[in-house]
Amino acid sequence: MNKLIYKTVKESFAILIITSIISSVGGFGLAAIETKFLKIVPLIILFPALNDMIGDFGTIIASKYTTILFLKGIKKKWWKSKELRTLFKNIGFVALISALYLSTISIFLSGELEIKILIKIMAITSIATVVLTVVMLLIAIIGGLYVYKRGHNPDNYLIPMTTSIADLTSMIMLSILVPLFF
Amino acid sequence: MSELRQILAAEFVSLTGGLLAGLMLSSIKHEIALVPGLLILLPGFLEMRGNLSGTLSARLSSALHLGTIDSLKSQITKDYIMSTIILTLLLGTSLGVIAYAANILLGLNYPNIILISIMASILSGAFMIPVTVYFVFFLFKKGYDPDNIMGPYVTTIGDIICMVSLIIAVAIL
Repeated sequence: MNKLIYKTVKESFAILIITSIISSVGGFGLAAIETKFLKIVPLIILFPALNDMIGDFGTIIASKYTTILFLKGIKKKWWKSKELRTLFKNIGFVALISALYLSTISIFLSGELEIKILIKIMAITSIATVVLTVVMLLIAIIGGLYVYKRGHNPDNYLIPMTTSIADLTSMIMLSILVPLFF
Repeated sequence: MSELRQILAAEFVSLTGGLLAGLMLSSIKHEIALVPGLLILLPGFLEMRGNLSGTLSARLSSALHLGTIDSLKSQITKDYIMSTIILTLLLGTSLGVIAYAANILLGLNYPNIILISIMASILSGAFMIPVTVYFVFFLFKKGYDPDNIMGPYVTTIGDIICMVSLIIAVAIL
């Protein structure tokens, strides 16, 4: 086995197995609200998409941030970086539009065309999206800096880290928000 | 503005695919419930596939931006592909063992869950690895930034492929 393959497998394996376990733990959280969850059809339909969406933001932020780190290095005050500010604005805008799209389409697909349910689903999706997007941004930047400073390739760590935490936290958010609204 | 458009377009496709996966999930929930440990395996398995394809895409994208690779035939490209194949086999086996261990803790004994995990990993990897590599190079050559686009696509396609792979593995075993 050559050096690059060995390094990539060695750096990735531990984080990938840990993140997969974290996601499995999230599954147990969802099981805790299973009865209520299964009664709300739009939630079942939007659940994988919501999970994916938060993971997508984590992936976009992590891979963009890694490229910025490699091309421009570390800045002392990362929040003043022009590239990161643009990334924040873009992700924020996409998050808002995505949350509205997701809740509306899931209502239509479920056939439960009630304004009351639509508002509740929109509220759950929007709150979860905003909170989790901010969490993803912080994890990618703080984790990315930490890994980069230690001389590792952040590509091997950041995406698994952000997506698994996205999975876990989105299931936690749902298990809190669903009983609150329904 | 171009970057925003790229992210928005990719996310729209991803969300639509995710909704499709949601419909699939609701339609096979009874079958999933029949296999002990499959529900424990499912979230970790979906996570693994998205992570493996996502990190492969990010590694290739960073290497393309840095100019260390320029084609599918570069040695670094081949090494990254081989790393992902090895990781697929290692993680598929590990997740199966974890699901089996969780089964035992719950008082169930279904060792086939390990084989299901390995087979589904191989099936999903056989589809996802070539697709990921091809699209990273294709997008980069067309002037797009794969970092903006690949993440959403690989997780969405990965979810659907994983569900199909698991269904096939369960049906065979």
